[in-house]
Amino acid sequence: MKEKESPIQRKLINVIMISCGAVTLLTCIAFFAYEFITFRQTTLRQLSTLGEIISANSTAAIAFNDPADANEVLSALKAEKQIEAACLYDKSGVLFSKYPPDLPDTAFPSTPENVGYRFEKSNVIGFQPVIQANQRLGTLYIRSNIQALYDRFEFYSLIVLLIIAGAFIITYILSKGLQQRVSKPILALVETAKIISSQQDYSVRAKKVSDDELGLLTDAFNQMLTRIEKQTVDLSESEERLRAVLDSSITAVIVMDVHGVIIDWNERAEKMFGWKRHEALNRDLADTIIPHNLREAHRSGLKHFLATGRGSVFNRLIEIVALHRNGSEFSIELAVSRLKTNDVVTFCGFITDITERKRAEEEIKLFSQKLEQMVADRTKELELVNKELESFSYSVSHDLRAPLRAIHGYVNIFAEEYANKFDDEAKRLTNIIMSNTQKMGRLIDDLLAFSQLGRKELVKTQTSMTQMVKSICEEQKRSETDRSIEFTIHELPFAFVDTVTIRQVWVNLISNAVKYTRHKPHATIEIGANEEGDYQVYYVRDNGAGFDMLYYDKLFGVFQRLHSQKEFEGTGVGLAIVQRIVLRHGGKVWAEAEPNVGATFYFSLQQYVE
Amino acid sequence: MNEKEVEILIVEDNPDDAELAIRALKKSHLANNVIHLIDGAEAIDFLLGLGKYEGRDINNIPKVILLDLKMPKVNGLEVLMRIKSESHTKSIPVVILTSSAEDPDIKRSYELGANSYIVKPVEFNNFAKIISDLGMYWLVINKI
Repeated sequence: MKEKESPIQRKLINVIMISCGAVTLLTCIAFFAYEFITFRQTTLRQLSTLGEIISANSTAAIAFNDPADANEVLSALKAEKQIEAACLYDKSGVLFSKYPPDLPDTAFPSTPENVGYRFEKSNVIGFQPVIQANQRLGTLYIRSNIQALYDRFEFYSLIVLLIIAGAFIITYILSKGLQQRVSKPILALVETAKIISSQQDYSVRAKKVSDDELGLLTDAFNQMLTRIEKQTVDLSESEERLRAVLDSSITAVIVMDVHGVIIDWNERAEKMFGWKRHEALNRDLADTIIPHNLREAHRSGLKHFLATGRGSVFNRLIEIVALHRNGSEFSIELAVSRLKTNDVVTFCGFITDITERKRAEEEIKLFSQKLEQMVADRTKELELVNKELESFSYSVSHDLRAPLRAIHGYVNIFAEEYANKFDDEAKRLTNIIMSNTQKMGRLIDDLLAFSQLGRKELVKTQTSMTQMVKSICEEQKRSETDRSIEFTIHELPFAFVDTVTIRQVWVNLISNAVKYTRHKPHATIEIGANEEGDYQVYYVRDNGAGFDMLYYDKLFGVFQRLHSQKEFEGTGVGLAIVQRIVLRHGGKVWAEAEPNVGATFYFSLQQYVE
Repeated sequence: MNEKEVEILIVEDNPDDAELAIRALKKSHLANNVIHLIDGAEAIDFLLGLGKYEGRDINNIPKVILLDLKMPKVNGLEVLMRIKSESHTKSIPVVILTSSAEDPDIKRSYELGANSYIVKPVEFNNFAKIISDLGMYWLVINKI
């Protein structure tokens, strides 16, 4: 089957045909014009030659005034078919002889005109003087029909047309063959390009036919193909790698365009939402994975972003509910980022299923609630036990006092009423009994006081620590009139505390300072305060007996003492009471000391803010 | 009735405490008419002329009552309540005897109309002094 000619082939053929036609036509016209001019000149020359011959032959006839002879001379023109008419005028210009002889006189000019040959209408006419020995005898008129000329031209035209037609045919046949040399490589390129564009196969190559420009074009085209093929391979490799990365991600990755349509969907997303990649692509995101009640918010959020360029969801983690294909809803953690590639904005969502985490959180919450309940229950129990213990220690110390009172009372009566019957040893022994009962009484009192601290409600008021400390020091001075004690009291800030118990703290610390400086000839006691962050630290410093920091651990324990009863009397409850009160106020107690140099006791309380 | 005027009524279940108190009062020569009852029930019977005290002249009321709080059967608070609710006894000054100043019952005692309280000290000398001061105060100085 003959293939239809391609446009370029047709164009090539047309170009060749038109240029060939133009050349042929121009050649023919030139030839034609040449022939025309030559023919006219030839005609004129032939006619003038004929005229000269006739005129030379007719001199005798005219000279002898012999018309018959003249007619005979003119009849010689019969041989020239194209001669239509001829005549001879005599010297005076009167018609003398005519040819053909039967033609009327009116068919000839009445008188001879200017000498010469010329074209006139469809004839060529000539006037030839008849001259003999430089004497003009008459004039010859000769008229030739140029129909022959036209016939000749008709014939020429026919030939020209034939030549043109022949040339066209030959040209067509030739161009058909020759155009292939140009069109074939181009068509081959076109064919290759068609295959590439339709099959996306960049491995095909165009065949090089010649070494000319078309050959160069083919080479360049093939080189370009090689580059594209390499780039395509690279691109597809990188795309495959990217795809593999996306699909191996334990996070679902979904890409959405500005219309809310899904344009990418990785394997994890397939598992998480139940939609295969090819099913999910080109679906509306909202209709696919967003629960009904959240779709409107999603769409208006997208619209808001497109209108303002701002979005509240970008680049942060959001916990939200998502929709599975099977209709179930589950918790996800979502991070959305905005991508801009080649001026196209898309949105990339990274999604983690947090159902498990939520459940774990819920479990932890439940567990911690349970724990809290347990702690509360245990605290309640502890409080109950504590209360029981307190009431126990209270009643113990309470009940212990009665027999003690009796022992002391009766020993006292004994000593008073039988004093005269006692020897010194008996007196010494009763004194020992009495001093021990006193000591036990104090122990019980302190224990009682300590046990009651726990249940006592703290009533906090704004308290002037300076005033409180000053009054305590005054009292101490009054009961120690025989000693030289120098009190230095710095300005102390106000505190928001329970006055009764904090007073007890100051009393215990100051009386301790007084007690443990007893063996110093000149006792100095300094009381002050420092600010330390949110806390106010109060201190009582003395230059007394101090203590060894080695036993610091025992300092604030109940019934714990660092000095013997003989050195310094005491029950070992005072500092325990101090610590308990300060702790209940949310503060801390500590101390620094060096034996025989002195001790400093500190306690901190939260800053009082008016 | 040949009944002596009762000046001081001690209601105390601990006989030792009672004896020591009476001795202290004696020392101050205030123990002429001291009556000691060993529990709350008896105190109420005595004051209202009930039980074994039926027929006693209940108008012979003590000048002051020293009342211990911790007693078996009927405790001090109940006795106090009873005293303060009877018209003929409610004007008798009542001094509460207690082992501890921290006793929560002290507050309750005041609410019920007790006039004063003393903490029984361990040291006999103190105890004797307080008792005798108290007796003196209510009997001598604070004559109604």
